[in-house]
Amino acid sequence: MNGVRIEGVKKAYGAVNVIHGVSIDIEDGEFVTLVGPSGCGKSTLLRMIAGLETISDGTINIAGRVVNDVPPKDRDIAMVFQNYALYPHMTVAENMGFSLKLQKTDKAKIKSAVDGAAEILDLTKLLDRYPKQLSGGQRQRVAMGRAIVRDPEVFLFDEPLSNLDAKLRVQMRSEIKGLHQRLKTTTVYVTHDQIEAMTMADKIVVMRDGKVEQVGKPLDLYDRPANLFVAGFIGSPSMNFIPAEWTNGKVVTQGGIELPSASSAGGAIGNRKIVYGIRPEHMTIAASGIPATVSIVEPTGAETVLLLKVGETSVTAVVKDRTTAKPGDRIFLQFQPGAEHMFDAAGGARLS
Amino acid sequence: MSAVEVGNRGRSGPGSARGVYAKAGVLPVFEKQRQRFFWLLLAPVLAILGVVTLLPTLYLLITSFTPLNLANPATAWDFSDPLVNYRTLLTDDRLHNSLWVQAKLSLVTVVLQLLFGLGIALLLNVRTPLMNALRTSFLVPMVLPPIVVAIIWKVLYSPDISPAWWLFQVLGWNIQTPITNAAWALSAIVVADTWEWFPFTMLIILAALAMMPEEQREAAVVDGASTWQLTWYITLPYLKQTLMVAGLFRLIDSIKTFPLIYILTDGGPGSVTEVSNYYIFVQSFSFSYIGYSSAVTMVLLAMIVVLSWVIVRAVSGGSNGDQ
Repeated sequence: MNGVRIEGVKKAYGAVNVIHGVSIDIEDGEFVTLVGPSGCGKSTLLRMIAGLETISDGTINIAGRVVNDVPPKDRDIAMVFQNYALYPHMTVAENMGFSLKLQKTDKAKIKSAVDGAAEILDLTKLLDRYPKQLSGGQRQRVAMGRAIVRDPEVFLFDEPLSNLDAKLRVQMRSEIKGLHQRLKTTTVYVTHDQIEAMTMADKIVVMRDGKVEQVGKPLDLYDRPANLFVAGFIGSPSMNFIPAEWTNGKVVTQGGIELPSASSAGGAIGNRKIVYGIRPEHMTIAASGIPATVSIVEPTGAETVLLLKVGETSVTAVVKDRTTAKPGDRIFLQFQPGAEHMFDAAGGARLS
Repeated sequence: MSAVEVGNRGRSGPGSARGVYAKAGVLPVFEKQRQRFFWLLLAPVLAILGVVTLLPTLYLLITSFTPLNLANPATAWDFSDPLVNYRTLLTDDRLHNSLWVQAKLSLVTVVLQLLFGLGIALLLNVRTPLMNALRTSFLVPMVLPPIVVAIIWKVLYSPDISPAWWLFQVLGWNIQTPITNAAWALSAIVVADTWEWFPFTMLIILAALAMMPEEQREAAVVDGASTWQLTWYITLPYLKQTLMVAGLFRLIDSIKTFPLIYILTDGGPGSVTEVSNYYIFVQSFSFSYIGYSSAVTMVLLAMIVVLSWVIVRAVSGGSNGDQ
């Protein structure tokens, strides 16, 4: 198989384990993001794929070959670093052609490869500049150009957009996605930003504390998060969690408010304490329903974010319609039928 | 780059505030008070500096216009022919020879110190306890008093007591000591001087290496660079500025070479190891020609000032050169 196969990979620094047996299959041509809070091991895993960190246990297989003991230069990968890591004493063209120069490729070939990549990335006019003469977004593009020129089996991106301002980040996000659609090179992309992960990836790997929490397509993670962590991590604003109790097919909060439940798996759940999850965008203001008190109103133009209290629990709602609700008002909420998620209060795993 | 940049940034705080006021044409009272306070704090240092460095230099300059000879104290204020010393030094072959010796010694030692310093720094730039210990031990030559260094090499170069010559004897080699051999005496000084001062360049290069962004090396490794290619294409260009500054520092310092020559060769055999600094010493303290040696010192001082200016230019030029 082409692509990347990670099997039971572990990483330990002395007695400290940072990655505890991670297995991920990445298909040929797939765009996979590793996402998770800082310290979850996603960058370490990427660096292990690149060969910049040793693998303590398990195997990493790139394009049908176990690469555990293969040095980075022979792994047929290219990496884009968070700080771009451009060589300051080389021009843009020299930066991009460096790997080919090391392979003793002849000059004409290097030039055509560099020109081709520059064309794709709109860098043609900047080829003679030095990195210090470029803006952040341009440097980012040069770093990508350096990767493209090599035409590798796998692209590795290590939080490549985190040094850019918000607007540029959105722009580069679609550029990278467009680039992938054009080149169809297998890509592993590390980010802590779930929006980046959602918008770009074919497949998302959510990690926490050196373990994989869930692997899936962006919308699958959004629609059916496997546990409380993924539910809270994917989506913005994050999913609301309301502690409740499941009794004979009814969900009742600790404050005695009954929450709607269309879950068909009711019988299988059994009576127990649960966490009831509902996304902010799945709530609407209605004439009747679940009573709530408005704490804060944040209009953003396209939609309005309402911070509410349902019983003792703080809840966020995002509504499309303009609202006249003011802090202190009592309103009623309707939840979109079937949009609720139920998690075991004890382990956090999805019920149903 | 960062140190200089940070320095500039630090200065821009009060500086920019003053800039704003300067445009308006008046300084507010608190700003004037602050400036007065700064001057008050600086004054003692400036006064001491003036007394211990500027005044002696001035006296040196004045003396260089007299034919002062300690045997005849009246010559201290004899300004009848103020340029006599400067005319003499134009035709003084022994002085010219000393400048030539100085140039050879300086160039060769600086190049060797840079090469050894660089090589050893690259080898030592690995963070392990063993390497840390080694790093410290490599600094020993530099921190020893120069006269002790000279004595160590005097012992090493003396066949009767040198462990090296004991070894040569065991091996059956008959080798003459270089310090009494006109063809090899300067080389003997070069070896000792390089040993004494390569730790300095090594230290500066190690500091620069420690600040080198790790991602650049990693990018090159992923790009396919071998260790040699990494050093040649990435590390050395990164160190260019540092090497230049370290080299210029050593160049200036090399003009002040004295203990090694005084102890090892006395400037000899003949005058093959007589550098300008040593020649000045001989003129003043062996022959008591204080006036003439002051003039030679002024020339040397002028050379050092020019070199220092080059260093300052190089260092400040580097601050906006990197990244």
